[in-house]
Amino acid sequence: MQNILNALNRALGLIISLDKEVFSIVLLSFSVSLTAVFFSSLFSLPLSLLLALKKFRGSRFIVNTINSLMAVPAVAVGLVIYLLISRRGPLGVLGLLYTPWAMIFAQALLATPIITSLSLQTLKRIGSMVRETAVSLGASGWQMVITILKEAKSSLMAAFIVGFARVIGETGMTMMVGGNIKGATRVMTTAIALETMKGDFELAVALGIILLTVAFLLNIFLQMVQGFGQTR
Amino acid sequence: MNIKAEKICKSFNGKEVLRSIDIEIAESRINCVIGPNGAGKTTLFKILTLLDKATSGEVYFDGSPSSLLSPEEKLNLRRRIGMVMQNPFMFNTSVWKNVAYGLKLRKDRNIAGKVEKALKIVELYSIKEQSALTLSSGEAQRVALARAMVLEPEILFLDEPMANLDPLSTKIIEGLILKMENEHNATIVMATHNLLQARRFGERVFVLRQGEIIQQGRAEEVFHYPSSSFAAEFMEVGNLFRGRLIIEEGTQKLDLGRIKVEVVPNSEFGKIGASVFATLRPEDILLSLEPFHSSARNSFLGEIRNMQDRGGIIWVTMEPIPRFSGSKAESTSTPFVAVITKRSQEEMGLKVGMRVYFTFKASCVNVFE
Amino acid sequence: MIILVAMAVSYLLLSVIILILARRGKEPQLILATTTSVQDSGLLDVLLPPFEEKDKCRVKVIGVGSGQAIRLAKEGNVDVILLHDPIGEEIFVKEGYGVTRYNIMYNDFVIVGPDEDTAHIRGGREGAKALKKIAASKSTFISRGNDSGTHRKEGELWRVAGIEPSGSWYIEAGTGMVGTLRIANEMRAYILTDRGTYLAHRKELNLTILVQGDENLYNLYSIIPLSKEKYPHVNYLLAMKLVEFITGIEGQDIIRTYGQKEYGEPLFFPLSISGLIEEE
Repeated sequence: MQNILNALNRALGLIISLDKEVFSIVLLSFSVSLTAVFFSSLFSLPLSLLLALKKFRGSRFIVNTINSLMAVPAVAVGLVIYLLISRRGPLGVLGLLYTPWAMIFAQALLATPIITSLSLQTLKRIGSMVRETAVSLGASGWQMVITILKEAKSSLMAAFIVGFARVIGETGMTMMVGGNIKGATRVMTTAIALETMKGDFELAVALGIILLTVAFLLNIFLQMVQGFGQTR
Repeated sequence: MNIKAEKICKSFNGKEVLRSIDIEIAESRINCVIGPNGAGKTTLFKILTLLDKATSGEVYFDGSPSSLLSPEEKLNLRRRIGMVMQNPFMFNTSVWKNVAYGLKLRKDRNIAGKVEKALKIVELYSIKEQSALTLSSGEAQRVALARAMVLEPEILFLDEPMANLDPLSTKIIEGLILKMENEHNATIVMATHNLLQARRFGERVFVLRQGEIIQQGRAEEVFHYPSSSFAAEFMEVGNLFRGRLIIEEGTQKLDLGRIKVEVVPNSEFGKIGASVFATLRPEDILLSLEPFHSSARNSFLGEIRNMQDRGGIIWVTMEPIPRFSGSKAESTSTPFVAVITKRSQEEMGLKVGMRVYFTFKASCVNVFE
Repeated sequence: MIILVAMAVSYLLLSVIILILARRGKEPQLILATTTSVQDSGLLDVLLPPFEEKDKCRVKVIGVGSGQAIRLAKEGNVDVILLHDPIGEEIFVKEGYGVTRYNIMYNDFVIVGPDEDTAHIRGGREGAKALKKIAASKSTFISRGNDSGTHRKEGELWRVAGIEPSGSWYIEAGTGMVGTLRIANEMRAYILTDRGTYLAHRKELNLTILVQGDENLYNLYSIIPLSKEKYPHVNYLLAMKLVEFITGIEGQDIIRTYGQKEYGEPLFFPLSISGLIEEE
């Protein structure tokens, strides 16, 4: 018990004093995960818009595929990426392994099915409602799409938040492709894992507290955002 | 703008919703499409406003068939047509911005002025900043109407504009429709299952049933002379009979069992002896306590079975009493419904069980197959 | 659908472009794979910065199990490895993956356990003998079980003892050295550990050193740069500079003094010629 209290004490100390190591790890976590979600949404958004608004042969198949991909465990994604970017792999020449970009790549892949699926659901729902009204009022194709996006703003935000929460808390895959290198690819989750195994609890606890706070805030943020969309 | 549809058919997943519809919208008039729910009114509207495509058939806009129009031409047409749907969708923003939506799309120069005017007309100016999602259905309908009107469409389609509305909203919207038609010479096409409305507004009426137009014409014609039993029932003509055409004493009569009703000879309906339908509007029946001598050919004694007060108007249901007892006295009943004002009812002291005379002209009886 | 394909292609292109750009203009770097025990000891945190400063570069350290480090190296994902697995290392060099082994330091393994010492191994010097006693008395023994340097050493000792350990008393944990020590602590069990890690965490553990000093228990650390012939992309020059630094006076000095302050004893002993000379 004493150990835990000590660790807690020192951890709080680290946080309050804005310890450089702690916060550089936190900063890296955020940059990696935010960038990952950004790239993921660049892909997910147009895709889900397309699937939601246009019927074409094979769209059902794609939707089913995306939904199944959501169930893929993170470590499987990590394995695939590792094999891809390892020196022996097809993308080995890019030298991506053990860099933040590898983590971003992996996290983006992990987040994409989730973000796409959630966006798709919401765009379909809102799309059908908005489409008629917008078109009857004289909206062209693009104007209608923009209107749909505006109406779906909060639900789309919610989709991004869910994706972000998923990746910022991920450990195994991020460690596999990032290497958990001090000062380069060490993020909150991998650092906590490492420090705990090493026995340096104060850093682990400090990061743990921050991570929990982030998760908590994300959840609150999510509720708020969903509330905005919700008077229908 | 002239909209004309020829042989429009529409199916969803193999289910036929519209069958070979031919319809031409009367310009500068209020057109009413009436029919029960599920008849296909909304589907038809969507096709006429280019929101949906017919499975077969063609819609002509000012003579141009829609299938040959380019997307830009279609867009331009749509911008000249207004449509207000049932349960209209409100954008997640203020009332003001909802109404301004269409103007913004067209990059109009005077959005503020037009929106203000429209909001004032529908009496929603005071809540212009309120979120449109918090409106009552009556208010939402008014917003939708303002939203469409502000674009000054040449034709305005309204799908059940006054279904489930509070009295204030109904009043406002009714007033608006009339104003648009009178002052702006707009063409209005209204779908409704409410006949009182259709009767009040409709200058041209189309009766839609299970995807087919079974009757169309000027409002007076359609209402006074429904051409099918369905139309008659649907339009609550009030008195619907079935009987046999006979000749008695040299005049054509309708044998209803208990009584025989004189009807105006008409070469259209079938031979003597045929079984036909007939309708009679309750308003065309006069009630009196004494036998009524007039030019009217039909006058009978009836016993009041039921009286229904529908807001100041009394609907009186009577059973005719055969003049000569014994002659088919026990045959099936044929109740007659008449309407009188409450005042008349009180003055005459009518009560259930009393006997009154009811009189109507032969020409008021509408006979069809 | 054309749009889909276009999207997929542009996405891929975008990623590749960004990735290529991301690699430009960075300072020269070295990827060093070492064992978790080395990483956990904290030595590298003190040893590398002066080198990084001097040569204006970055050394990225990946800590994995010994066997894993060799496999990583064979795949060509690192530039240089630092291990304490002489047998594995020899094979590695013989097969041409690595250039040469440079010995840099040593420390030793010890067998620690609960004070009660039910197997009566206290005071012994030979590791294999102690393991025999432990097996005989079926006292709980925790093994690293993960193909790390420690695990391989443990395997050696069992072979010398002529025993194939199995049974409910022999537990294979998959954790790092510290984690496994903690397990041993919880279960009041015996465990083979490197002295350095034990010293670093002595305070939180209720285990004592029971067996030490055997030649067999020595732990030799070497550094091996990867062959540029087999892996053209490795930064061989920089790797050699690192080797020079570590085996030079400055590096060996750091090694010699590391741990004195915190734990009262040094965790490692310098080994290269310059280091030995200093000692004299």
